[in-house]
Amino acid sequence: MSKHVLVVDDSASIRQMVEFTLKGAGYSVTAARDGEEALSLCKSNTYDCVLTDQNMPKMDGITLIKSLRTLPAYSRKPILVLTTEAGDAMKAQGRAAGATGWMVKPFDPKSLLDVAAKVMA
Amino acid sequence: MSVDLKQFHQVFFEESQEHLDTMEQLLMTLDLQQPDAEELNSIFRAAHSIKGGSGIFGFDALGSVTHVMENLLDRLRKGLQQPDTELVDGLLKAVDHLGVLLLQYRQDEVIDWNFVAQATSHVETLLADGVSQGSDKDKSAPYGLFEDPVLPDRAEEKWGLFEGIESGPEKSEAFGFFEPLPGAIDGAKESAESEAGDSAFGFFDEPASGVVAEELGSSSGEKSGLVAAPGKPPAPKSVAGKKMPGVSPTKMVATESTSIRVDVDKVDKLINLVGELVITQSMLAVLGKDLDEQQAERMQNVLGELERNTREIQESVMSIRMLPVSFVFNRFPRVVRDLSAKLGKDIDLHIEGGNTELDKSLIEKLVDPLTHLVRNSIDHGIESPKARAAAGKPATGRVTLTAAQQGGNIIIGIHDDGGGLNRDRILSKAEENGLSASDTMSDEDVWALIFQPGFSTAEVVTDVSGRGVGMDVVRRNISSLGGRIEVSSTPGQGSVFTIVLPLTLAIVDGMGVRVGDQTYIIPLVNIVESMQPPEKSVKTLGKDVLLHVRDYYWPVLPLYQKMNVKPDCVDPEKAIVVLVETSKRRFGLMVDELVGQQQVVIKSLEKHYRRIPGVAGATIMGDGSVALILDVESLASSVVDPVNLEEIA
Repeated sequence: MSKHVLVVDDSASIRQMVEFTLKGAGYSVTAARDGEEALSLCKSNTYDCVLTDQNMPKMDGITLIKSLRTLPAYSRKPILVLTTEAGDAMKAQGRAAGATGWMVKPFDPKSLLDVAAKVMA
Repeated sequence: MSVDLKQFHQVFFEESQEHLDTMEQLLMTLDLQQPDAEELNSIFRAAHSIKGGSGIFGFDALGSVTHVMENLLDRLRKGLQQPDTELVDGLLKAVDHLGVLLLQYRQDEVIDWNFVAQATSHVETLLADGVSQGSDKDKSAPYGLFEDPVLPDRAEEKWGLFEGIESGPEKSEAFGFFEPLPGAIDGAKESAESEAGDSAFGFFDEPASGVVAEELGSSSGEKSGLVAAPGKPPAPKSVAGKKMPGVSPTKMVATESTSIRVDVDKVDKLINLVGELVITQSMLAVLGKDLDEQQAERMQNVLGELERNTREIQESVMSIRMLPVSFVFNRFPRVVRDLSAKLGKDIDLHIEGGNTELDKSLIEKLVDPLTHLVRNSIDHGIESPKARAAAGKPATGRVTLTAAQQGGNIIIGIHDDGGGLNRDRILSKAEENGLSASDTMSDEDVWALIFQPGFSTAEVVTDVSGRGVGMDVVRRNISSLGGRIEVSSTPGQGSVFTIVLPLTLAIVDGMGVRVGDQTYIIPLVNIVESMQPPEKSVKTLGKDVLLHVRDYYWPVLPLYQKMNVKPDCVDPEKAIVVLVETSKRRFGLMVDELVGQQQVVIKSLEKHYRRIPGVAGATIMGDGSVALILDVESLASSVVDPVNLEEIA
């Protein structure tokens, strides 16, 4: 069974691009457009990995990660933050929130797949 | 694996345009004294999203401008810099620059990098003094450092997790993993191993957690860092509450409704098909009439069903194309802002009825005429603050844009509280320009002069309202949309321009009427009632025929004369008179017979033949014949003036 990835980003073009890339590599992908939508999806589905943007309306990535980590099903699931802010503060936040790792935008499809393969190995 | 990113470009362009619009709108309404945190956040997010996307899709020009904008916006949202008018102006300009660049990418044009450099440095100048480029770079560097004390203190992170990636240590990190704290687990070894490779992403390890240790023990060194999960999840609630203080959920929900993007051509095709369906359905109705009684009844039921469904499909399809008028209206705060600054006039813009929906094609074609009218109101309508003070008016002028649906029409109004149209000046200008004008003309006729080609009332030609070539073009544009424009004005109190547009362009509910061997369609919205005139209610006055019904003398217009066809009857008392109403007049149309009410699909006559006075278009009837759709508004102009009629009455 293919691994199921949840992609969370408020930008439709990035959602589509990530979705397309991952699907091309054989993952099944679900997309959400903000943290709130992602959180409610996660409550009813179990994904093997969550890739989330940081800056989003309604609920940002860090809040999403923190919320997900309170759910038993997601206490150990890999969660990656996609962000354009690669500053220390951002990483410290990510770490504190319980993220597995981060990935800096822009990224190319290949490194996306590399990371995905690593975290879902 | 190679991914063709081009396929996502269109979505990116549209999305970015939306972000630009959002930025512009929010910047316009930003309260400089007490900027709303969530609004600043939204502006930041918009710039941020464009930057993120342009990075991925390789639109570097957009990326470099949004990059500096983002820094500035970040300072604003963090309260490090206070927004002022100058700054907002600068940001608006930057938004314009981005719009230009976006268009260039969209049209596959060569990017002018000088322009990009200018745009970038333009934003940089907006950064408050004391913000060095150094700290600026720090914040937005494409890589970052662990705070982890284990790490050597240098700019590039070198982790061995992805040895397969060929890139030197100079290449910046684009992702990374969080390492466990020193000594907690043997992840340190891994970090040492990974020194050589380039870290393009990062993983966070939960510091010193039992779970981590356990996982590590059972998996290889390299993987162990990745699957590490936090043993004790942090409580998120308080943070969630704190981070989103000013979010107004309703606002967000409204803009984030579930939607898909569809090519307008596809929708247009659907609309055409529905049009054909309406025609097919009326053909079936004609066929149904020839059946014997028993079958006819069953047929009627089925046809009724078909008609209802067709109508619903048609309404649904039309609604896809409908957009709120605010799509046009929302550009005006910017126009007004720029203009009032340029002209030194203080102007308040009010918008009412922005939710009124209108066909997308109409919306797009409304932009130019409306822009012209608004500019005109500000330039010519609203007086200078001095003149306003002298006239005892508030110094701040007021321009109001309104939209409302009225029956099958959309009424758009541009109101200003300026000096109103100057009758004498219009008349003298008209004479100068060789237009036929006289002092005895009614106000309405005088106002109509400003729509004549080559007319300009501005004493000084400004670059704001152009050279007076506009108003006739405005009128022509609007009538090409099937609408019309009217103006009313009160000296000293202002003017109102009213645009009346049909709700849709494609299908109309009409009444079929027969004159001789021709069928005509009268739009249902115009019809008051139809009748065979009672005896003695018909009066003749010279050449004009009047019908006295309900205490009103209705001038009767024999349709056969207008259309030049041979009728069955010329005597109004034996014919049928359809009483119609337009915005200006009420009158009766004399026809031979009523054929029946039906929906008709409007086909443009101009496209296939040529424009005919009094005819709005043509349609195909159920029996395959062509019927002309009457333009009641323009027929009204050939009717006797009701004012004179009342005198007679």
